[in-house]
Amino acid sequence: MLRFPLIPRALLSLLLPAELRDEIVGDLEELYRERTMTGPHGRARLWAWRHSVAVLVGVRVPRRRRGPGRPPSARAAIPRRAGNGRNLGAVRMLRKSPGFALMVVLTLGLGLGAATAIFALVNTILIQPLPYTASDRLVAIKHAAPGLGLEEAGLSSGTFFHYQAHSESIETIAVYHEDVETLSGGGEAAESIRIAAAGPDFFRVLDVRPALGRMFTEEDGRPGFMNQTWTIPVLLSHELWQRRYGGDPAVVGQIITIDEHQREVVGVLPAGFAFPSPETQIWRLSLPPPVTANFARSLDYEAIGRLRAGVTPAAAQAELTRLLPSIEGVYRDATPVRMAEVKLTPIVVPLKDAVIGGAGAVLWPQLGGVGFLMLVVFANVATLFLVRGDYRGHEVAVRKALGAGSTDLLRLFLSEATLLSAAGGILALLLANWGLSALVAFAPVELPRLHEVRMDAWVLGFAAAVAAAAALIFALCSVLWRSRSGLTAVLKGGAAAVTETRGRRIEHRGLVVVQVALALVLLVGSALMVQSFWRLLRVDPGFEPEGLLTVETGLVWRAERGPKQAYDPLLARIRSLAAVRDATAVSAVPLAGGAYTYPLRVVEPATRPGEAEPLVEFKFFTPGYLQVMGIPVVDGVGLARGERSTQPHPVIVSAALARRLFPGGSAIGKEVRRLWPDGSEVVMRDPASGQRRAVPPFTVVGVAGDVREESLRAGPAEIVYIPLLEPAVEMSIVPTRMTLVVRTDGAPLSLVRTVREFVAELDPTMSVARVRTMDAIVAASVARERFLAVLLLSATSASLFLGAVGIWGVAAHAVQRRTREIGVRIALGAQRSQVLATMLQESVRIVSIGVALGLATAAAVTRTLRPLLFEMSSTDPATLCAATALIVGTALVASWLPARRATRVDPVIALRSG
Amino acid sequence: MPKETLAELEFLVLLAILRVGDQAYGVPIAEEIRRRAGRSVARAAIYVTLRRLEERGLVSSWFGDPVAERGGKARRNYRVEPAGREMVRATRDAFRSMWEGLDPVLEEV
Repeated sequence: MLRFPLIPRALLSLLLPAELRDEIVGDLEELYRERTMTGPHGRARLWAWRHSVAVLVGVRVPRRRRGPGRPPSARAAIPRRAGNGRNLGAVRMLRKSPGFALMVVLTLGLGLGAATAIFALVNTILIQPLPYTASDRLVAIKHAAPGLGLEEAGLSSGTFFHYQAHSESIETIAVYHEDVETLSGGGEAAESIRIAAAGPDFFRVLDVRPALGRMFTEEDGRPGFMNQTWTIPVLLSHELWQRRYGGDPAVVGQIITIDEHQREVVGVLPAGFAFPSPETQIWRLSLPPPVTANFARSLDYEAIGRLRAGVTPAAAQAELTRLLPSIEGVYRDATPVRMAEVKLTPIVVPLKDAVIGGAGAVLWPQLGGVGFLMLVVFANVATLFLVRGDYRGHEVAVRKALGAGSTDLLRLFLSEATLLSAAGGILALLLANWGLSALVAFAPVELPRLHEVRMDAWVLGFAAAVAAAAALIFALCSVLWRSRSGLTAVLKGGAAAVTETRGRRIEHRGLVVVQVALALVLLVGSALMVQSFWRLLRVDPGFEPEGLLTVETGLVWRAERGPKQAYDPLLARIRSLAAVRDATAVSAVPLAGGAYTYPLRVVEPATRPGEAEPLVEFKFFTPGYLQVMGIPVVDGVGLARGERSTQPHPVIVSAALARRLFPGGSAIGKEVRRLWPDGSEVVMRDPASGQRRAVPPFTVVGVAGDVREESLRAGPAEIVYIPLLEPAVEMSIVPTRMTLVVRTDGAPLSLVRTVREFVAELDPTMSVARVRTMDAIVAASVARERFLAVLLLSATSASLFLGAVGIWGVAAHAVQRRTREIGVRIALGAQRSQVLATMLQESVRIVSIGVALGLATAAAVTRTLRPLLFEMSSTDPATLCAATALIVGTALVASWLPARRATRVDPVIALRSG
Repeated sequence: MPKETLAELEFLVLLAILRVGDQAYGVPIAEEIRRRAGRSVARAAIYVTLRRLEERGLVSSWFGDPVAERGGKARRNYRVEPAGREMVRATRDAFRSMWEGLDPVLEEV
């Protein structure tokens, strides 16, 4: 059943008079429901919006009465209390100055709209609790392993069993890991999907119930786990169920094929369930096998837990820290020496913090930015009210003289301000509703919880509260400013009398000073972000991204054919295409993540015992990778296509790694070994002799130029490039996911279809996952910075424009006030340039104060941007100067326009008009 | 002539309530006016008019039971009061007497 759209419904409930509310809302709901049944939903929603707004306007803004009208009376100038006439006075007054009303509504609507959209993002992502039962008790459990050079590591199977058995503060602990596997069969194309491997406890921690079928049970785990003959149960995401299985309930009990294994579907998760990620499509039953449990051989399990009521994450962390030493001796590798070497420390943080991650760094400055924009908007609208007040002094005095009390006036101003704020608020909601979908579409993918973002009651409340505050402030402004002017003086002197008062002028200028200052803060902030972004883009990534197509592929591992046999024919076919210059395959391209990391040991000179080797990245590549990517070879050979090395196990290292391992000397000819994560040597059974022995070391045959691997921000990466050759250089691990890298002459994406076809023809078990150009990967790696830069930039342009309008208003006002004086000056022989200078002086003074204030504020505020800035300080002098110059320039232009008019004053007319 | 007269929309709304009969509430009243008079009147104007008519004692209203199709809101039903009938009659008579003898004029091309 489709519900009436939330926003119009809330607007109706909020703004309709009580005596009409239920009736109108009920009628509209009824009509809306009829429409959803007979026509497309989108049209029905549009209808609901249109009619809600029309009814609101119709009920709230009475039209001029047709037919016999009432005679105008003095009381009619004062707002009436009763029913629909309540806003009549205000409406009449506003109708007399439509320009003013339009400016207020537009300014408020734009500013508040931007603020509301950003608030909706911040609220859902950072403020609202996670969508699970008692989610404040959910935690993420991790480790730090400083001994291995890991600031953040997961749990090992051993530590998991240990905590699970002994922790009292954590009710349930569950481990899981994520993977990408190939789903095939059912007459549909094979597709790569994100999988979470988890046990029954995983769903107990999150307290999820199935939408269909059942969850994993304890019994599922028991019958001979790791026994490959048994069909492992899986759960489907709601999305996958709908998309691939057409929402058919009979999917429960079906056998599906994942990575060529049979899996049984036992249930479907509810729509919107998105843990560990919104992209997760399948949850496969998996429990750490107790037989191979170890202390720290691999720390790659992610873990979540549910705390007992009343326990804080810090208390749980303290408990785990206390428990950990007692693991000594429980597992084979839990020796005192190893434990001292690894230096494992448990970390327990609220799950929400773990999910949000670094999103706060991007979102809070944005909320700050629109906060500043809101202040500029307020100052701007207050200026509008002030200028209007000057011209209205006479009218108000007449009302007072006719007997309107100050309560009557306050009510009039209040209803006027309310009407304007409400209209601005509605415009803001419309803009925010539209802007939010644009924001979500534009936001970097790594921003968490994006799928939860929507306009909810909190967002409506926020917009309503700000609009209400605005109404109150503007009404009070009107009253306070007005109560100062004496009645008789105003009646005698007309509008001009009021404009002369000194207090008024100070208030007016004060507001402009504030606007200039705020606009400058925003300008400095966005200039910093834009510059950082620009600098990031100019970082040399170490390769040539232009014209490169990347195609991620997944491969089911089979003993009889290694990755070389699988990829060589495919690459040969791709190379035969006319538009292709060359093609290669690599286990992970730079900036896309997914590299293998292991410790590396230099054979000679050997590392001192007790000193753990830091992790480095290992990349498998088919010969020619460096050449296709455009990575220079700085020493030795580059293992281009067809180039053979005389060494039996040749590898290439990155320049950064060579510098660290062999400072001052050449890396060529040196031997290195890959180790297991626990620091132990890789041992394999020799097929010839049947003996177990350490695998032979690699020999460095080349040094490749430095590449930004993790991000453009991070320094050059330490990488070992392992060629896929025959016989295998690395025998103990095999890459299952390789990315094809194709250098093209034309548009890279035009090849996608052909490559897909080749893959399907050559190997039906190979799946194609993400297809991207290298340019897009580079762009995505700076998406966070771009997102913030663009948003701050739009807030800045809006505030700059509003600030300019404010300055223009003050200058125009001053010129008008002093027309007579200017006329006298010109008549007495003053040069027009002198007059211009005099007129500009005032603006310059105001702008200088604003700039001083703005720079001081900017220095304090832009500190929050520091984590996002790249190779620059938040008080970068060049940026501050440029921003100041831009503000001053804009201000001068804005005040020069009206000042120029002053110099064209005809003295005769000016003197006469005075 | 009665002291107060009916504005055009008030007249239309009263007639619509009489035509719809027992089940007269917002939706059918608006529909009746749209269909018979061939005009689409702003919904808001109809609600405001109904309220005004009620304030003047020409119609009365009461809420029925909550209805699920209306998001749990009740229907507000309307009935024309004797004063309302009187007013409709008076307006009709006024129109009629103004009408007399005008048919040929109106038929002229």
